[in-house]
Amino acid sequence: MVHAESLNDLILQKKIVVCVGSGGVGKTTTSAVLALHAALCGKKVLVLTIDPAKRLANSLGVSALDNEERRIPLEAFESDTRGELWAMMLDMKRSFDRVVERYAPDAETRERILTNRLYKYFSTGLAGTQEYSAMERLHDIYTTGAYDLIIMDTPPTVHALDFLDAPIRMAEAVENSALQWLYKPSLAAGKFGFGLFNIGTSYVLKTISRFTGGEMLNELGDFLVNFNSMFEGFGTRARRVREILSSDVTLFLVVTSPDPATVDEARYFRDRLQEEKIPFGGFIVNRVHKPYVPREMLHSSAESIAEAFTTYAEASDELVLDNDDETRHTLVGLGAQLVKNAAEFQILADLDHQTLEALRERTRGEIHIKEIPFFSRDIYSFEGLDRVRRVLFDLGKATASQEGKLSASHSPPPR
Amino acid sequence: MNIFDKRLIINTGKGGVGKTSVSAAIGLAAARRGKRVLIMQLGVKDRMARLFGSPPVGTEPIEVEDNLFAVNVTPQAAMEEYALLKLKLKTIYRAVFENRFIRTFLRVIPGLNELVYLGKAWHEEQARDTLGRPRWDMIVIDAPATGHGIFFMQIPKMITAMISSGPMYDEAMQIRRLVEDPTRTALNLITLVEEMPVNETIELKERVDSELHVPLGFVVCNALYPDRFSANQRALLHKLEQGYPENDDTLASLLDAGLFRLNRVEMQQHHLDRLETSVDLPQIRIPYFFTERFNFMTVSKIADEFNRQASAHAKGEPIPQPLPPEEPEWTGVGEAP
Repeated sequence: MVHAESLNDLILQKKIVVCVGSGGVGKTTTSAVLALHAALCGKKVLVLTIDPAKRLANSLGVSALDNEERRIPLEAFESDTRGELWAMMLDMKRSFDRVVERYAPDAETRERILTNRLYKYFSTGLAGTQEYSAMERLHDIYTTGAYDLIIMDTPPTVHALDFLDAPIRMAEAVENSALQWLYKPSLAAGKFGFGLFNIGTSYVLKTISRFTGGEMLNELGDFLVNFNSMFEGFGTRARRVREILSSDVTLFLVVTSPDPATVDEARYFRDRLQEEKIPFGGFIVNRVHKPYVPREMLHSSAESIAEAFTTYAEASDELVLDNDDETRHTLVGLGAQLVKNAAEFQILADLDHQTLEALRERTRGEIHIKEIPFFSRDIYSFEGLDRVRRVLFDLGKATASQEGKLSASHSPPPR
Repeated sequence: MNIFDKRLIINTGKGGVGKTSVSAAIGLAAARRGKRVLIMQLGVKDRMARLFGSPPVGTEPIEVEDNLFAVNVTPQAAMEEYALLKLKLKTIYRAVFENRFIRTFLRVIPGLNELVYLGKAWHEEQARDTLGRPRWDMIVIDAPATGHGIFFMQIPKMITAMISSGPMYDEAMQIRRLVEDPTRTALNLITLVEEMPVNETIELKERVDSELHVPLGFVVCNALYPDRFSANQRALLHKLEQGYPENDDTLASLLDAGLFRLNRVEMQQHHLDRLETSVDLPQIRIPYFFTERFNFMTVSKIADEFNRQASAHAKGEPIPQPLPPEEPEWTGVGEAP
């Protein structure tokens, strides 16, 4: 039994759609396609992407994306939609600085954090900072209500749902009262920085300092104390975003490739989402190999293929083949390679089909599994994104004139 | 450069380009040359068991092939091992490191996990058996993807820049001496030959040059479609495309498949040229194998191919021509044609 609502309906009912998945499966492109589709359906949409290649910005018809929301012109689609497509890119390096600037209680603390040596080195690597910044930005934009729909691309993560968990883990670690027990005494004394841990007074700290050394421990203490002053309400906020993401306004889609190991991970993502009671919309499987030719044709001899092309050419005005030995020889050779080539793609198509059937069985057909074929050309153009969109939402192929207009639009021609 | 003389191989690249399979193949190639090799996965879902058909790989090394060992390092296991080395007493370790408060505390120390991973690699590199011989001839690290990978390798340098003494400083210095030593270490950049992975590889190379002092090995171009068509056949294929047989579905589909292949191969060549111009490193080109589900046989073929090309690089010989494409073989999936 297939899901009652179409993917189209599911997405258009929501306010936030989040694309998650392992690295390199096409999350960014998928996000762009979903946003484009919703805009053409009349929504005002923002796609929040993480670090896309410049080519994706180009494919959206702008030279670059940055921290500002930018409107993407849709004229090339000649639709009379009132929808709007907006895009912005989160700069992961700078975004946590913005969090600090916003929450530091006063200018002095802000300076102390931004110039802290540990912070300078680690603000991009500290577990959870990127995820927190992304969530914070999402929350800000969502609460302004400026968009009907926000499509969120997620950072590549080492572990499945770091995007959801890391901000809360980070907040908990900093808020943890036990942790404060380690450094609160000096806070109470109004002391910052050095001498904070008072090496020697605590057996535990003494043991830790055997690994880190006193200098490192002091730096760390300084860092944590300053950070702590900033985190008033930090956890509350992280949990509020989490609430929004778990509510009915949100939908999560898991993006994957048909590779069995990646599908395993995708299933794991879905299980985790369900455990956490987060609305899950289905799997989008990118780069699926499709069979090209009828199976019986893979038995054809090279000669019979050459013969078929020759016969076709004789009856056609468009195809003219020279009638000499060299051409005939090349045609037979080509026929042999074409059959072998089609057989190779048949193997890949069978493997992908098998993997996805197994996935369908496991999910008892209750979940959307949308397949996007592997295109030979780059999809980084309006034309390419539109091709994916048509497959994803069962819209049928574009007419030649539609394709022509899209490829002639401002985006660079596909190679 | 002879990659098989290195003690530490680190593989990084964009997510999804095949770092894990290439790491497995490099390890296998070295093991087949008689080296004793350890493949290190870093706190991820184990993938080596699937590739080698071995029992699940955990935090203790297991032999997955002759001379080839694999381990899946977790920060907790590595930290415990390291702490016990220093503290000698398990009771002290328990009292301090298994304390719930301390665990929370350790979790927020930036870069600690990365340092622990590299520390583990350093200790394995230093380890000697009872006769004083190295425990491992080669250690292969399946490192995190690009962004995190850079952070991972920057950690020792960040620490030595930040503090000037103490045990953590000493540890970081020792690691730096290993990972920055061109006689012992090589960092390989793994990539697919497509727009985004190649862009990321070019950026990665620039960042390694400017921010890290880790010596580079190869650019490994993974999963290249072998070319099936001769120049004459290509020309004819384009001609057939011009007079596309719209009324004959069977011929059209056969032609579509051929044109798909041709397009991919041409696109690949374009990106290989970009890599050659922008990234001044020797290339290893690994073909795409159509014939099987990715399994030990595929890893084995990649290992042979890596060995063939890396040996030529080591001897300064011309790089061997790519092997002709394999004949398609039916593997029992679906009906045989």
